[in-house]
Amino acid sequence: MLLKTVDLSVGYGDLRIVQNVSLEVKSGEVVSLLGPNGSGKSTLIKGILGLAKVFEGKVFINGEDVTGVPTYKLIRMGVGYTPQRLNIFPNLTVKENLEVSGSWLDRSKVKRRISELVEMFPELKPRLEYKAGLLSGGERQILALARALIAEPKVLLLDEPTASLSPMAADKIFKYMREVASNGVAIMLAEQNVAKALRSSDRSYILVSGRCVSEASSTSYLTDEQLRKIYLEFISIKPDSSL
Amino acid sequence: MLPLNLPQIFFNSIITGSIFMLAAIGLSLSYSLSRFPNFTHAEYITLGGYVGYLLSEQLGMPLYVAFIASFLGSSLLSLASYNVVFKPLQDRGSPLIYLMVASIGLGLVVRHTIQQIWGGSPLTIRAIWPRWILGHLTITGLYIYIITAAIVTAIALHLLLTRTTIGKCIRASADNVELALSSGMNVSSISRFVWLIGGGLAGLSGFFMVAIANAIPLLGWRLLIPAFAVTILGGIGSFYGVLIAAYIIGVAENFSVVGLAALGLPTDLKMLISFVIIVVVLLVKPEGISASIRGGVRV
Repeated sequence: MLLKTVDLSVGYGDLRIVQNVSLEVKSGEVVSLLGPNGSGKSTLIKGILGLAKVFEGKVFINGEDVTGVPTYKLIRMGVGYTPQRLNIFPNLTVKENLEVSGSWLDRSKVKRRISELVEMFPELKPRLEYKAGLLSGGERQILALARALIAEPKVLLLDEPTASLSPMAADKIFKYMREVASNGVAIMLAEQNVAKALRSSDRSYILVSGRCVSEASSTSYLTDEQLRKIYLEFISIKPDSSL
Repeated sequence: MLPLNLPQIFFNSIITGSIFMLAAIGLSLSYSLSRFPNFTHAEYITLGGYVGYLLSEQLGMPLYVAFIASFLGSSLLSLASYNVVFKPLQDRGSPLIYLMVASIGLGLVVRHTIQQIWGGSPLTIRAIWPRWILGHLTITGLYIYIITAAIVTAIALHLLLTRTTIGKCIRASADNVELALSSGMNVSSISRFVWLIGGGLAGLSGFFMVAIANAIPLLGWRLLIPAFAVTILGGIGSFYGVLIAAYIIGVAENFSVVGLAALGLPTDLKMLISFVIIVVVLLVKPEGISASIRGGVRV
């Protein structure tokens, strides 16, 4: 198991937003976190990363207890992350964005990774010397994904990577995500686009009001009438409309 | 009324602007990463001036040694204040007002300690600088020293911020601290480096002020207001903005002296120029001139 949380409670200040959530993601697996706005998806991810306060519970990466480990060390241990918003450095060029995201690595490795990522995401190639703030929404998300991949993470946490993207750009992000997972990376995806998330992931957890109310294979949410009715309606998503 | 010696006024403006630039860079850099206006910055300036006085005048050491010691003394005070006071407060999630009040309080402690050591009377470095007269323009060795320090600093910082990994990480952290952390950057170490450099440059500005005029415990406060004006006019967090704004305010201050003298008013009122610039910029163009600089390096 590459990523595992046990009874994790997370929040800000004195407020617990996520309560006792246990989940796991295996190598090469894409797991989606589904839930309505405010259900605690982003907070859970921030808790795993040490960007939000962990009240109780544990986080394990590759079997090692990393609860309370500073965020930058966790990233250096092999975790990649793309936040929902503000996920690039707009005043740096695209190339600089990639360079600083692997700042602790050998220069030669960063150079090699930039070449590999530019091959993987050809949209970035002609934009390398552009200020990242000038990129389109889709290009920004691709850059955010490339940034998270520069150090070849074993675990990738994606927080709403397709938010406010056109359907075509969103499809591209999901396609890239599957490619990354096929290389053995464990991916946890927080997503509002339920239909696409279910189609692109292996398993899903449903969060409601900070609690995990269901966990099943994504296929079963798509095909099992009862599951769809109970949970997808429960989180205010019409079970048959967009699937 | 005496005829205007424009070449000398412009030259003096370059000197003033160079000192303002050295004083303001640290203020702007530390604000970019720590997100609060650090009033203790005034005392980094003051300490630099007194350390320079101590070494060159009291201990009789060469000026270049005093120059280096001014940088080191203030950079260490800056680093210590970050590590001991500001970083712990930020780690506890203290609001902006706590940090500002702490910086004023710490500044008072440092200033009164300096006053206890050296007293409150003005102290002067009695170095004899070579002097050249070119037509209406008088240039001294000290002025050359100041301009060279400003040029070297500007070029070195430009190269640091655009060509080195640490410089790019400084810019990234200034853009978005949380994203920098979650990109594997040790933002605390980056901040320490920035406070070290910024404090050292403030110390140099203090040393030059003492070399030009004299050392007094309020030296830093006299330079802090123009430094804030430079930071705000340049656009908070803009490196190139600070470089340009420092010289604009240098020119404004030197011409204001001429204007005030012509009107028979005390030239000390030149301090008002910085206040007026702060108020006008905040009212008219709060983003400063950096918004007009295309492709500029934001820090």
